[in-house]
Amino acid sequence: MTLLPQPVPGETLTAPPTAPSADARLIADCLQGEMRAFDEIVRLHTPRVFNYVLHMTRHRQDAEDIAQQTFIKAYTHLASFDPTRSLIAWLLTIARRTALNHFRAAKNFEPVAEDTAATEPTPDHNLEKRDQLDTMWAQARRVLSQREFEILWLRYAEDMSLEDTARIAGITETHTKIIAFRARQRLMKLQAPS
Amino acid sequence: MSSTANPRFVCRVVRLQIALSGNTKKTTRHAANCPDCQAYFRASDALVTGLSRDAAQERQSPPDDLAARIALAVRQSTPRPRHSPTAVWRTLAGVTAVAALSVFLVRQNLPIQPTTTKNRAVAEIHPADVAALVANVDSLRIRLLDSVEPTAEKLATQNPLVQELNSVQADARSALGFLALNFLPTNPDRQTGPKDDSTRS
Repeated sequence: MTLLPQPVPGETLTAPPTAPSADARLIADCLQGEMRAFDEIVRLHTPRVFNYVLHMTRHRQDAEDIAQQTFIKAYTHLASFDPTRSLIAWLLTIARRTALNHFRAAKNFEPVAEDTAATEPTPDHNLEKRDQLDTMWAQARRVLSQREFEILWLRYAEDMSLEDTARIAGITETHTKIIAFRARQRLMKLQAPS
Repeated sequence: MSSTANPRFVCRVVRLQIALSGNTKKTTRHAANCPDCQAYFRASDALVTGLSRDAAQERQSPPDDLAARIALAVRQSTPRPRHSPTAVWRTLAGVTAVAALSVFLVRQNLPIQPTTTKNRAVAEIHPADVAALVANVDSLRIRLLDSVEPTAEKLATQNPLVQELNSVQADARSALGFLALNFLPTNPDRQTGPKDDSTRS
């Protein structure tokens, strides 16, 4: 019995460039001046934007601020949004650029160590606790570069198409495939029994 | 899984090729007969499945009031979505290009210091043509602005870009007027009359 290689999910496929109809309708309403429509967009997409930024910054307060700036920019430029594309991909693109600008302004591109919410334990304790859980993502964060982690997160956690992942990360699709391939190999090497 | 740790060169090539371009006949044939590659792809599938599964645990809930705070901040920060500034720039660039082209074409058709009656060029552009050209530029500007924003006329008085556009248009109009006044004959008969007399005498 032989096992044929299964294509990595979505690796060579691209999602059809169609925004979900609910998003398209909300955007159309919003452009007509219906403010509640944008409130609904915020409500629907805040968790994903927040989590994406949180994984970039690893700082809750920064993530909240950047998520807020992201939606303000999105609202301001809503008329330039291409309704045939995915809204969440567009929002994450804005979020990424906003986060990069945020770090450039702070002259601190390297993400901070860990969550520093006041109500939670110290960062060291958090890191230790997270490593004990040792999910695949915890391992990925330890061994992968920021960019490799980001690509894997977009592909397999956010379930973005290859095209959207490349667009959000600001690189070509081929480059995205290579980064994802190398990141998978490193993780597989880590998980392989010695 | 020693094979995964140190695969053969051909296996590495096949794996990279599949990652970049998907399955082809050759790669499929190799993978079907290579136990190392089969183990590799099995592990790869398990990894991707695991990453997708664990993503839910990795996600953190945003604060409960974050969406409400964002919505409030959006309301306070911007009055309403605005049209892309690139559209305005495109309009400006288009009108400027048309004006520049008009000036260029007018200059191309003007006679250059005629010295004799024989090689004096006959002007073919009349002030009426210039006026029509200016009117065309005007109508083009209005049409472009209307395509960008139905209330463009209303915004035109406030938008600095449109004010700049108007000043460029005014410059172009005055340049055309200047050229028409100085270089276009208003009455060709009157200009050629005296020279014809002198030639005759």
